[in-house]
Amino acid sequence: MEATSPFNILIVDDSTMMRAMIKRAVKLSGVEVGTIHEAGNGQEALEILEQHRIGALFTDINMPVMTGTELLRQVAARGWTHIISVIVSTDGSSARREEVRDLDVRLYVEKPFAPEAIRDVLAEVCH
Amino acid sequence: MLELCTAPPSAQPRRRIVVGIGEYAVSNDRASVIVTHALGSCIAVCVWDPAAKVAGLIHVLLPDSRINPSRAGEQPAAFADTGLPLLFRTAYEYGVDKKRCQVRLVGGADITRASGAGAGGAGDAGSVGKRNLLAVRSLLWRNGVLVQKEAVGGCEPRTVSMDVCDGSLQISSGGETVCRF
Amino acid sequence: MSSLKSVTDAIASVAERSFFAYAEPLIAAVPMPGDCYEIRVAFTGAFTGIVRIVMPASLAVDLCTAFAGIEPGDEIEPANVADLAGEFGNMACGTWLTSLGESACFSLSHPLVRPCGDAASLPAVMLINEQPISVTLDLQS
Repeated sequence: MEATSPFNILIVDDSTMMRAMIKRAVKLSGVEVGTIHEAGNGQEALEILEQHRIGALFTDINMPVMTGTELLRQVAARGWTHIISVIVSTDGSSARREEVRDLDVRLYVEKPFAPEAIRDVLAEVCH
Repeated sequence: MLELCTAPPSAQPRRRIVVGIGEYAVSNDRASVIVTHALGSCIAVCVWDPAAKVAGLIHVLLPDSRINPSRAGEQPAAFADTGLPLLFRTAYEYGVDKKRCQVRLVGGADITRASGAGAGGAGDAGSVGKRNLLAVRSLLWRNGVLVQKEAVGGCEPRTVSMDVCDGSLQISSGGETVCRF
Repeated sequence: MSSLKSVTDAIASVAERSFFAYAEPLIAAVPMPGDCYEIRVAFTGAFTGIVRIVMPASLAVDLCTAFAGIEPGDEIEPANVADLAGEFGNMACGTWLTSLGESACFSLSHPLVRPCGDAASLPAVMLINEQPISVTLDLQS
């Protein structure tokens, strides 16, 4: 496991371009972060989470192989309470928010979002 | 670099740098206030570096210089795509660091709604404010700059004053102060 | 509001917010060009269907450029353009479904993006950055 000092980020989305955009916004946010990891689905994300100390997880919901909701259930089941979870999804329905209510989601960013939304999220979680 | 001043009346304590439509100004004079009026569909892009204590403001009229290359040659600050690089290049000459830069946007209103004229749509005057806003946001993102705060949209024109002492903005509409950043 | 109008409103919202693109309704008929991408997003939930968006390949490149924050004219991998076209469709469909305020969760399929063979025969319904796009909504239940 890596040292806890760097605040490492994991971005999970099945769109390569969306991950690149979020990564760019993180780098421009002015918030000091460590390594920015990426995963294309929940299963890949779990593998990264098992190998690296991650401070914040930005995850989509609708993804192949393993959804974001299932990923968050797995994170909760493993007791990884050090991870700040942020959902970044087009699905902002009350039903979905209710579904993830008990999965320790700190913030919910609805797509479409302006790049500043990522900065604002980081500022809040790193406060 | 275009820097405009008006001789302040003796009663006014601060030096006013008045930026007209399609103009811009950058200043590190802490006794100055940069002011621009009649921000309807136009956008004011306000830049402030708190470490260098440098303020800059541009009053953009239109989004894309390709619609009038001749005017863009004479007045590049009138267009977002030619004006923003000019503002930032000048600001850098004054010691502004892009990473420290705080950018605020003001304007981009649909003033046709206020007057009751027009309903928006292709080529309609009511769309210019939104087009300006989108063009400015796109350019800032492309150049790796995030917006700190904004007072945009709506249907009323605005005036903005930027204090070079601390980068604070006072935004007014109809003679009333509507917000401060 | 018709279902299609609410879909095009969602598309406009996506275009403006994340892609800095100007969306507007069509005032007069505009032909669709031949070189287009077709984006299909299937959804299930309170009801089932498919949103189909057809956009010019040049618009897909414009949107990708703006989203990624790169210079217009810089080379983009076709795979990235297709990826982002799919994400555009994903966001448009998701935004529309969220706007309906349904009580049940919905699920979106991975977007299918491919060249559109019949674009010229399709009616455009809106403009994005002055370029026409065609949108159809196929509700199945």
